Amino acid sequence: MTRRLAALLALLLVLAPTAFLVGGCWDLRELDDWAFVTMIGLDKGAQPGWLRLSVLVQLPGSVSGVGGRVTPAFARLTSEGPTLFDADRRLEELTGGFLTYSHTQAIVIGEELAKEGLEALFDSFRRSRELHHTITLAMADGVTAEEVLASARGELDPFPATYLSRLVTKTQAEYGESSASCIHCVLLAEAAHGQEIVLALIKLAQKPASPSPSSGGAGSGGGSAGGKSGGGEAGAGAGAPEPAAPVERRVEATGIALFRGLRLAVKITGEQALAFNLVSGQFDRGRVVLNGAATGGKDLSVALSHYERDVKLERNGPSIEVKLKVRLKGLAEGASAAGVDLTPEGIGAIKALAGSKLSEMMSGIITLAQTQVGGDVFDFQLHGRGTFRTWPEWMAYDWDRAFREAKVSVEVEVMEIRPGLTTQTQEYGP
Amino acid sequence: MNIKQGHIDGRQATALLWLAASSKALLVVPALLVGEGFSASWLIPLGSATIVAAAVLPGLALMKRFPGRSLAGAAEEAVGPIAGRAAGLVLAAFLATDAALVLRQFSDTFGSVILPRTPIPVITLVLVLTAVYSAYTGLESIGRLSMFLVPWLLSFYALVPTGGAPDPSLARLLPFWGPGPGNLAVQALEHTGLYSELLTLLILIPYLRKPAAGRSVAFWVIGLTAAVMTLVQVAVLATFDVLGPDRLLYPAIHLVHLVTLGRLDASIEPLFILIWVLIVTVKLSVVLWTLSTHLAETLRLPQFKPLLPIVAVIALAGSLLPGGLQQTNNLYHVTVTHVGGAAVFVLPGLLWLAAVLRGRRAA
Repeated sequence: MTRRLAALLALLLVLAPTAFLVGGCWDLRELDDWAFVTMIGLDKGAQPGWLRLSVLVQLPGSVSGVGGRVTPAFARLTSEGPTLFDADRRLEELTGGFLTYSHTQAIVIGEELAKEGLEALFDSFRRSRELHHTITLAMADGVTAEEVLASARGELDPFPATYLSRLVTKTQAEYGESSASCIHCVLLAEAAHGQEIVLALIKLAQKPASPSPSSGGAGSGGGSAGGKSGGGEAGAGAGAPEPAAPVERRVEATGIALFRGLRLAVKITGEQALAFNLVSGQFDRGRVVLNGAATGGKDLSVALSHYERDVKLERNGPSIEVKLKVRLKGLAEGASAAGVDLTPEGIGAIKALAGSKLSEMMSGIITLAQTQVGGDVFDFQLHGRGTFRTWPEWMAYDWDRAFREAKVSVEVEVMEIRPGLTTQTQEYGP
Repeated sequence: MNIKQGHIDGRQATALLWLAASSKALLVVPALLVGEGFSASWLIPLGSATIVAAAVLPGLALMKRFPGRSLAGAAEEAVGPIAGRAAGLVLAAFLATDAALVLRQFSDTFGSVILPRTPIPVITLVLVLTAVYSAYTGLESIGRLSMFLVPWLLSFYALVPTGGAPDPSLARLLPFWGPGPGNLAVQALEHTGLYSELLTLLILIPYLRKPAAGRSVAFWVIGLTAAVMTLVQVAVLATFDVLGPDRLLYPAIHLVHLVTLGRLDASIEPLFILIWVLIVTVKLSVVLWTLSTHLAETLRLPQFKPLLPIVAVIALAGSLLPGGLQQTNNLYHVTVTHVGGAAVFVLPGLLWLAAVLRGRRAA
């Protein structure tokens, strides 16, 4: 009995400090003390070498529901410092709460900072305990990250950071025109031999303003205030021209930023971005517009899917040769409405046209990467390293030069072009 | 049933030793291996396992030659009381070093990653107290706890490589030969200390219900530990590449930061923290139990329990000696994973050889 009592006391002795100290009671901070940063903007600071840090902080106390719709409010805060940690500390001095980044979902980097170089960010990305490495990372196109933070808001998602993150992912997966990049991907690219950084591109476009859920317009907090571009406020008197539809700056994730040695090298959008994803293996689905003899000189939109990529890389001494083969299927939407020939011969001609156009697009982006970027943005290095026997041999190899001088051949096989569900082929016709 | 008090069966011994050995994969070892084996670092645990499978045989033969004797007793029988005790103290010093460095590694990392505002000595003290209590309850309870943890641990190890870490690629395991075949073989030899828990097996063989099961336990522990270490190493390489882990002190922690459970978007980090704490506690309690038992046997003391607070204080004091985490990791690399092989395999092998040459065996 005494032994059992002694054991129980010993157990209590162990559990008591565990419960009080490890359980979080040590210098406790209540939930209300924290300020949750959901989105970060990083720009070049006013002083040389400094960073400008903008954060979007959700205000939990001010979440309101209008007609059943949740419209959370946000505060936008800004500070500058020689490092990200320093800027963060200065930001904390401005607030009563403790900023925490563990709930951050998106980081936007301003174009000026991207041109200057991302070196200053890597230390913070690596060492920060709170920044989750799956956070979406994107670059602002032509504007500052702070402006993006001011304008990011979505129709279906009241949380700007979630909206932006999903926008990038969706544009990459469904349209093939963005790149789903995260902190981990960037750190990986920075560390890997011969690999360059690729970021999603965020731009601000003038779009018709969406109707507010209520006349009062709880809005989306700090974002909406600076985001409006005006218009529509002029009085609409008798005989006066109809007022222009109000417009506002809204974010779009249609493009990719290619880096060389941590500095922005080239921005690509539209078909170039789609071609980039086809070459780099990040393609899932997308669409391309065909126009040629096979489409009767009319625009035919083809949705691409079922993508497969095969890369064969041969190394002969200092030079490499890459054979890239891409296979995919297409869905020709509105083909019959456009009067496109959908006989087997006609489909064959469309397949050939699609193959040749995609091949041309891919060759174009490869040439651009070899000449204007000057580094491997496609991750061909992952195939190249397999041609080496040992790691020191691979590290001693000048992959950048080999990539720039590489002979790359592209072959695209469009396995199938199906007419859309709204069309009727000759086969089923009268 | 014929249950022997204070004894465990082969399965419990396997679970206990496997848990303790695989805890290395959750600490600094993956980063150390990448630093030396580059893209082929995943081959090092496999190569070492092959060597260890042969190297452990002399130690097992020594214990078989002196059935019912402890390792300390067998050493004295083999080379005489003075040299035998000296050998026993060398092995005890190795165990104390292992305990101190694991304690420091875990406390520093847990303190900086999970509880940054909690003073590190508090974490160290709590961990030591828990491990001492666990060791105090004896081998049977540690064995039962290990058996309870095995399914959870297996599920966790299955989640790490199959979870959704962004952009993993097996192409990062190339070039296949890493530092070159010759260097790789040397590293496999140098890293036999990865399986240093086999020393614990030699010490606990007299505490197995069937001491003859020692050999099968050894091979199971080697096989399972090699599987876990290889799996974690492959996952780390495929996710972080070769240059990444060099900058990540504890790749396994960073790995679980990235792994999310599908569309739930929930990181497996909370699960990891729980498992991490439990595994390291089991590892420390095993080492403290082994160290105090072995010391009691070497010094011919009737009980190991009075030694527990002493070895705990030694481990605690030893954990404070390194100047920082980097120094701790370097020391661990040099003493446990490198020199450890000599302590764990060469010394028992020499004792067996001496016993054979001198014609010593149990009466």
